[in-house]
Amino acid sequence: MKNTLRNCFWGLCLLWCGAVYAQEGRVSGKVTDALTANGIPGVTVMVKGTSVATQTDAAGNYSIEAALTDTLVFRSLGFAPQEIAVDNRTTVDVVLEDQGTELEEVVVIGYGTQRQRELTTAVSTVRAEEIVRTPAATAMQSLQGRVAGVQIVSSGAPGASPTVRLRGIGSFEGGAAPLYVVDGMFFDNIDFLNPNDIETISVLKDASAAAIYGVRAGNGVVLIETKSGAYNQQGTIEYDAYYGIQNPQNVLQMANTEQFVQYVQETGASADNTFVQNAIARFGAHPSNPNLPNVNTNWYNEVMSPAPIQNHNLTFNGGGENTRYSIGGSYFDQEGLLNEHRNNYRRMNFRVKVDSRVKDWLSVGGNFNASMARQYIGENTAWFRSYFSVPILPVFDENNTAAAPHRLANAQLLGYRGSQNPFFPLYYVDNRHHIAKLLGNFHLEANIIESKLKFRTQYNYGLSFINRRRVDFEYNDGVTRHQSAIRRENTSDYDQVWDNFLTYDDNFGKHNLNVVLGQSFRSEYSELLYARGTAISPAPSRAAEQYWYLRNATDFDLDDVGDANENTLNANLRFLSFFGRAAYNYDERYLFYTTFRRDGNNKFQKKWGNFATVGLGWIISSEEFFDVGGIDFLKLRASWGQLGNDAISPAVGAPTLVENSGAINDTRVVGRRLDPTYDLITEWETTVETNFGLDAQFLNSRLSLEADYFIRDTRSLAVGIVPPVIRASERRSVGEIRNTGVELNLNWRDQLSEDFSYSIGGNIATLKNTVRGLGGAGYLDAGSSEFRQRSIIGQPYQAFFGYDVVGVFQEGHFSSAADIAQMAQVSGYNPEFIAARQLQAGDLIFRDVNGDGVIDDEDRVVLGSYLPKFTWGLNLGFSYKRFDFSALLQGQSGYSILNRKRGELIFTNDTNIDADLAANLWRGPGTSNSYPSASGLRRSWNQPMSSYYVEDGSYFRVQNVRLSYSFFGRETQGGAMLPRTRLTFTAERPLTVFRYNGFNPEVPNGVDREVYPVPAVYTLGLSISL
Amino acid sequence: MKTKIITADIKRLAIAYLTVWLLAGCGTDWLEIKPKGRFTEEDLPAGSLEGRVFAAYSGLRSEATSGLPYAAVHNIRSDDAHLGSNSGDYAQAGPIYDEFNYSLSHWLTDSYWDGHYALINLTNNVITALDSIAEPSTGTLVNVAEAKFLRGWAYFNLVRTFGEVPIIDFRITDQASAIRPKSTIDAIYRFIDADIAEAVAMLPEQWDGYPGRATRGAALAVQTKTYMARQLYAQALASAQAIISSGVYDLSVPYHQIFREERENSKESIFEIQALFDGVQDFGVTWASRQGVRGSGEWNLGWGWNIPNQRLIDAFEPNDPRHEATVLYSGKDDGFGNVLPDNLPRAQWNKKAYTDPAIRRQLGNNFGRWFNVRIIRYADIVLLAAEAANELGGDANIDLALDYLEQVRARARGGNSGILPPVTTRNQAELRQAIRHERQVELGMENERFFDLVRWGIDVETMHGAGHVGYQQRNRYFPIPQKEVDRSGGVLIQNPDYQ
Repeated sequence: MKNTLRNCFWGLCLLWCGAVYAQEGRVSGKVTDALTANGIPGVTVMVKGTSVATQTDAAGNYSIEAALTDTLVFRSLGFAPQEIAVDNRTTVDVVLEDQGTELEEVVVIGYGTQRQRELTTAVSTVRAEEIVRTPAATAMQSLQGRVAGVQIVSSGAPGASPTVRLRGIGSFEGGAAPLYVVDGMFFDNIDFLNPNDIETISVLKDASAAAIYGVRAGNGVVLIETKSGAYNQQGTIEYDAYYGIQNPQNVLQMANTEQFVQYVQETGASADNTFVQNAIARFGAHPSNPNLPNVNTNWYNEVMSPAPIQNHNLTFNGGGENTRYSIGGSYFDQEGLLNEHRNNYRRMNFRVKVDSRVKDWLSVGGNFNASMARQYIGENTAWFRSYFSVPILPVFDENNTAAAPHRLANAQLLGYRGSQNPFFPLYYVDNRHHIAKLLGNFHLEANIIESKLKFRTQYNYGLSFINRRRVDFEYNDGVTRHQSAIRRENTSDYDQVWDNFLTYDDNFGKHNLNVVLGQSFRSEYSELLYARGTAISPAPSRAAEQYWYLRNATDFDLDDVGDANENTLNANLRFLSFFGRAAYNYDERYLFYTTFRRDGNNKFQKKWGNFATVGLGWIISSEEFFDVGGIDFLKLRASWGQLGNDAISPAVGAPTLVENSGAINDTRVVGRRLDPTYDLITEWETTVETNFGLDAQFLNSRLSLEADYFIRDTRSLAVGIVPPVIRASERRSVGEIRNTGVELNLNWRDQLSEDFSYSIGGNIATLKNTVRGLGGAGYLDAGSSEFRQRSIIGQPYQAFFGYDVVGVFQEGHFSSAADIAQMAQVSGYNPEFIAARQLQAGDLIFRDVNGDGVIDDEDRVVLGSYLPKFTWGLNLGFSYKRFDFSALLQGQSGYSILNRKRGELIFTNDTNIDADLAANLWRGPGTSNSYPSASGLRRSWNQPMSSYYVEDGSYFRVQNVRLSYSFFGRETQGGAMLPRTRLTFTAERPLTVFRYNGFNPEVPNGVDREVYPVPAVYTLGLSISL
Repeated sequence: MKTKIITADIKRLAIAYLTVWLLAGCGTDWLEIKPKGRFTEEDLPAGSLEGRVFAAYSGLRSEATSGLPYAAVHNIRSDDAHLGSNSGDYAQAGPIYDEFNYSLSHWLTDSYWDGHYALINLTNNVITALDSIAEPSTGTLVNVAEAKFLRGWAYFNLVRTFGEVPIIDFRITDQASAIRPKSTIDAIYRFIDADIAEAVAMLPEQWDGYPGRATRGAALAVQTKTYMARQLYAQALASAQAIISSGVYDLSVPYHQIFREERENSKESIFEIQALFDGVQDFGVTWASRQGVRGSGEWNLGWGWNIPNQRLIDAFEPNDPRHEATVLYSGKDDGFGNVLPDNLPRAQWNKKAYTDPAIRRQLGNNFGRWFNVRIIRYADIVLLAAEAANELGGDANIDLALDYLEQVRARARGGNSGILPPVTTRNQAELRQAIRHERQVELGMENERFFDLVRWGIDVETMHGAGHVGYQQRNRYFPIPQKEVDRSGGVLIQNPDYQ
């Protein structure tokens, strides 16, 4: 709270200073084409380091609010961008060169760059100003709704990364997470990076774009460039900060005591009614209704409350003639929503990036990024318990005298089987991670032939140390004493990549050529050490952290100690690669692109793999015959490429000997068995993708369009095949999955007056995911036997699989022959079947798919997939004078969520139910045709996996709304200068609209049991630059 | 000018450098780091098969062979028990095990199949290794006999549960070789006979220091049971009498103590699955917890499957002490001075899987992983001997049958002459009924009842009489797990009753 006040105080000070002293200035001028000397319309003019921007009008004129010391950035497709210092002028005219120089609107594509207009592949770039709009620990969150074909599933836990999927799922194993290449180093995620430090994020979506990364690129590649200084740039100091509140939203409504007791009575279960009576006896009766206990706990409200989030960022940029630098530090602090529980994430980042032209033929550079974080992991079981716990149980129970150290209420004292109360894990667990990650990079670049041939070598290392400590405190819940326990787990990862490559650039008349040839070494080495002890003495408490050490544990179990180093299969992986790329174009009309990569590794039985790609493009608008009014630019492109995926576990390739010990007469005997099942990866998981695209600009480049269609087949997927007779599954390279989709991106921007410009843009992506091969098997099961997910040939990956509910029996009882006949007519079931299964009114009717009059395994069907068929985003923005407004709307639809919270009633009756279910249970003819009766919920007939548990996840969301106001520093009469200052209000996810019965329709793998809720975030931001 | 010269030098240098790397890279042993930490067959100590045999015994501790699938297939199916647990589990398994609407795929039956073949695979790893040993020692031959005993036991379970199944008597080295067609029931019994005969010949009567390993008596007991399953009464009687006359076993353990932890591997025990859990070492089984009282707090002993029903309770003669040793009642004393809560979800539980509360408290664990699974006990064999003798008929055999039956009843009486009067009828049919009745109550909840009914050919009438109207003769055998049929590419044919 103190910090908040302090921040507010400074903010107010600045506001006041700004109001008194700041004198805004307007800089205007004309942007002309160097070749034609005509004005260029639609050029983006930006104040460097800010989001203040405008566009030139049809004649090429612009006007923008800027300070005397500012630098303006001019950018337009087809022209090289320029940066020009205002330098106390009020008129700044600019001449833009046609592209062809080193300074171009370029896109980072891996081991080099390419001009946007010459791309034949699908690459989406997100720039710094868009990334920092999202208040989150990790930059990937900001891509949600912005990039077509990238599905982001948010996570609300402090410091947690969102789930990222590029163009669907193409592997049966592990996550479908893309490869992140941060300044040349490979990472599995970028949760350690400060979003403010990122200059661009390039998403290489199709195989042709990503193929230069060969076997690591199977799930797509995300290239991240951190910020650099600029040569000949005056030093700048930038401070950015925001402070905000995360507010739980769309909190799931559970049945209150009245609804719950009604439900219990309707079940007719005597035990449960006894528990209610026990609650009345223990906690007293409600003053106005003696049939209700005088308790009405809303567990979700009890366990969570709004939590602060803040970020502070300081960057120094600059450069001389031969050296440029960028130095920065940041502090991020996010509290979790859970009460009475350490649940937060704090991270400090420091970075230095320096490049120097040592000689005119040699430049060297280095980049160092250190991230230190401390994360207290929230006990996710608290979320599930909050759903589960009955409302007739209070948080505290002063009569639970045996409970210690806190007198938490225990549902067992009412007769329930479990203690329920979510505060047990909240009070008595502390789970800390210390995370240190270091990214180091050193590179050297030599010009061999001036501006034609250069050699670059870059060595990168990524070190990652995670130190985990989980402590379970000793406590008594009133019935059982729980022993204390401690678990420590340290992992260290040492990853290195060393790349060497030659780049050749030349043109011969109208023939333009760029060739890259290179080679790369990579190694990954990891170690793990863990140990667990119980019965810590003296007993640990939250206050006495000095006892939280293994040496204080009095009881060790050797099974709970582990020391895994290079002697484990996963831990010493090596890779060697050769790669090449050629990009050629004729007269900037006909584009040709090809890459090749040969990868070797020690992970699989297949040692070497070759991956190739080809792309073709045709810029029709550059043809002489092309003369269509309103179309400024039109390009058709097509690409085909292969990728590998080595992000699957290594394979031994031979039977192994494993310990299989036992005991005879209570004495241990050591047994060894030869495991006949072993993994054999004889082919690399390979993605083969064909992509067709179209890029166009219309109406003086005010309207731009990008469209892509892709067919992405992943083959030779490692699939666990269970051979006959032998129990264990063994992985073989036999699976195949196809993802296809269309991605559209449409943007409109215009300036209506000097003061007002606006933009509107939208993107939409479709996805169809189909399992096409499983090595002869018809399906592959996933999920649990109660909540089955199944990958079936011709159906989506891990689709929900069960009975299809077509209605509810409104009348009838199996005890009456007449009723049975009527029920048989309604359902199509055999009368004998109805009698045998004892069906009655209030029971679900499942579709008899094969029409044989009985419901059995053969009637199960695919009930839905958790992969959205449509994802879309819509962004709006306008700037008026010193106001700048932007909004991003996004949504996903055409997917399902398994509401397992609700489903777990099948494991125990001792649970509350959500308010929607309580209100809409079947209660007599005509009441519900989708939910069973209260007693039906507990009958086995209604409990197998069915569409009753599978819900539509579609949602619409206001993702981000941002309003900022800028002040401009001006030289005052005394010569003092005030810095430029911008105040920003951001609302992240202020509104989400959905039907699903949960907190949030975003569930990483479609199964909602104990998912951390995603809060709305409201922040106030301040940025100052000198 | 100077720049150009330097540039030229650098150019040569760099290209030379790179070329070296590119070429060197091709031949590098950079990738030749073998993943370590896994042992292969070469790491096995040569000559001795002991380690492999212990691994095979560990195979018995799998869930399939010592946990819920075993209880479900052998006992829940019978007229004396019902499924228990909760409605969610019942939704899946109830239609199968209580209503006899067998599913082509259910985890319990699938697991039963998998676990038994995994056990067979472990035994084949011992048996086939003999070929590579030039001059096997006696110890090695005994190890092979232990493996054959276990393999025989596994096949006896499979043939009773599924009928025709494939015989795998070799080490599986690749998927294709594991695809085998079914053998006939006769062929499977011949295979079992050969394995068990070798086990009878080679196994010791007792193990010094290793009570609990397979013995000659255990092999004879399996032999007795396989003969009885085929109504080969003379052979069965001979095998049973070989056990009885060995002097290793007797009925000295008081009935109510047979299933207590301190009586593990007692003179009553012919074969039991060995479990160890002492809070530090865990080589335990789930047998007790799967059937444990489904209460809360200190009465949360497990999942509460396999519940004795009223039919079994009614079968006990008045004041038969075996009643109390077999059925544990909610709201009543557990025999250790603790009273069960009366609001438990079931009125009664299987007491033969009930653990000693003192051990629970001592270990701070409710789930009985230390509790050995009694597979064959002596009284079972004595009653089979009685049954075989009665079926063979003739005065001498009737005398024998009456004597064996009385041995068992006498122990049950526990010295109280007022109960369980001796059976005296010499009428073969009446005596048959008496022996059948005796098996039901003596071996209540001990996994014999269902296969006894099948053996006696009265399964359909008995099950219908018990209200399981869905039961048909085909329900003696489960369908082969459909996934096995699917995997075999047409080689493994589904049981025709379920096609």
